[in-house]
Amino acid sequence: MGPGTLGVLPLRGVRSRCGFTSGTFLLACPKCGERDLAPIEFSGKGRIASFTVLSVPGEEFVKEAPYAYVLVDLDEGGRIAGWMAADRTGGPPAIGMAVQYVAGAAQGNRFAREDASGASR
Amino acid sequence: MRETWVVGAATTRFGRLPESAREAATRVSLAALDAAGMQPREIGHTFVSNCFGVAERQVHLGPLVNTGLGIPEVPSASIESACSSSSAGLHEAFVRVAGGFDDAVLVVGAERLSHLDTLRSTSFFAMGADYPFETRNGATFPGLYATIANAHRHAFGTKEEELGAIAVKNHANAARNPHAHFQKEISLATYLASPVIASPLRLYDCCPFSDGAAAVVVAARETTPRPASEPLVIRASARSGSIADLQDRPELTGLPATRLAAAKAFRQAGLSAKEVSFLEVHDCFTIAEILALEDLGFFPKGEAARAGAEGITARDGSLPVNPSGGLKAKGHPVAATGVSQVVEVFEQFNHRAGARQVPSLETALTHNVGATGGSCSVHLFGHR
Ligand SMILES: CC(C)(COP(=O)(O)OP(=O)(O)OC[C@H]1O[C@@H](n2cnc3c(N)ncnc32)[C@H](O)[C@@H]1OP(=O)(O)O)[C@@H](O)C(=O)NCCC(=O)NCCS
Ligand SMILES: [Zn+2]
Repeated sequence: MGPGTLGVLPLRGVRSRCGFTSGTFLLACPKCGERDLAPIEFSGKGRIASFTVLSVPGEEFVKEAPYAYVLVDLDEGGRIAGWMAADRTGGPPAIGMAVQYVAGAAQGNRFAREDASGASR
Repeated sequence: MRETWVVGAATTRFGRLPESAREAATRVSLAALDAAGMQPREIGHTFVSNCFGVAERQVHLGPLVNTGLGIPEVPSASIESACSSSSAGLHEAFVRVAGGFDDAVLVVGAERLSHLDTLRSTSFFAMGADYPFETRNGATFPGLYATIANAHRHAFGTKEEELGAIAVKNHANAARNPHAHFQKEISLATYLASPVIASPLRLYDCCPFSDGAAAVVVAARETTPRPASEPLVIRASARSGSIADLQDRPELTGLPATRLAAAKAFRQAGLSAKEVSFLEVHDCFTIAEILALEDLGFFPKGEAARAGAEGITARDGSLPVNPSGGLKAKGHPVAATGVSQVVEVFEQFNHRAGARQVPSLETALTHNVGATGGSCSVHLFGHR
């Protein structure tokens, strides 16, 4: 079961002339209808807009459970979905927490909390 | 437009079906026709909804249902709109009958996946989300609504006990509904002791995985002037959509599709929220009942959480919500849910709701959401 080509290039998105920014699949802007969408590359740095910690996963995340599903407001605008591994130190995620994309996950946009030094863990 | 009625309605008990979705769909269709006092050959078109037919290795249910009803030549189509599938079918039926294309249309929804375990069911349900951009990032339906619940809680201070009060109320209603999946009351203590599925949502915040089937017959007043049951007049049949993925919506604390569909419905009917006597809303999770009451316009944003806890939405409250037990406790056989909400209104209007009969029956509203609100239906019903 493959996801096709969508989502395999992480942190790629589009920005519309009206400012609407998205990491999902769009050929026109859902806000203003603009078709000329500029491709952008996201920094991967941002803050948690909302989240949940799941103990009952679907088939894709059996090995990760419990894990957090997070929506991240990126520093440069736009909000993308991702996940975080169960935290061993520092407790669960929180709304407003600074996070950073971590490359190399087998699937999805994996994030980790960013500590004061700017390093992610 | 012709005045259009729901003239017959029927449902199976929700929970576990002893037979296939196809058999249950055919059986409830005949029962809905019987309630209307009509024969299958009076049907001009059939809309069937069955989201997870592939789990039974069966799609193209329409011709099977129609053949089983002895009307093989009647046209049919499958309507899929995730959890709002059969209310989308009802909308199409309304359009065909009100527009004069057919005099009577059958709408049926059925689902069976109790043969799947928790993991498989969770994954089947997640197919209603965006596979590469939500599911592959770890989303499940409890997870998506939990993400909304956390945002709502952060913005408005929505309390655990307020979510729990909705579960307690809907279980109390379902305990009085012989068609409900769960026919048992729960206490707030039971709610609070139940395990967290996706924080902050607990087991008792969630609708269950249910099998079930429900059907309605929609007909023009001028061609079916004397149905066997008291008909529901369809005062409004409205649908709306919104940006599919949660992360692409500016706002996480409400469902824009509900607001748009409600505005359309109230305009169509020339009615306002104040004139609605009771509601069946899409409470797939307790937080969703709060969202519904706010987005439908019954409470300002951020203020509906108290409605359950204060008894406003109880059976004998000033605004009964989900007298059937709702998706939470009556159950949520995805493609049957939209039509089953209308079955509840039909039973209430015919004074057949027994111990869960609501006191006032002027106008009823049904609200049915697809996924996290990529699609939504709102219907308003009144008396002839
Ligand atoms: C919450 C959930 C994960 C539980 O999974 P499940 O496979 O039903 O759980 P189990 O079969 O292990 O059930 C365990 C027990 O809890 C009960 N139970 C299951 N779901 C329940 C629910 N939602 N509410 C109350 N009790 C429930 C079962 O009846 C069973 O009781 P028993 O042990 O007395 O027989 C599952 O019901 C769920 O994901 N619900 C949401 C469905 C959904 O997303 N729908 C789409 C909405 S948009
Ligand atoms: Zn735009």
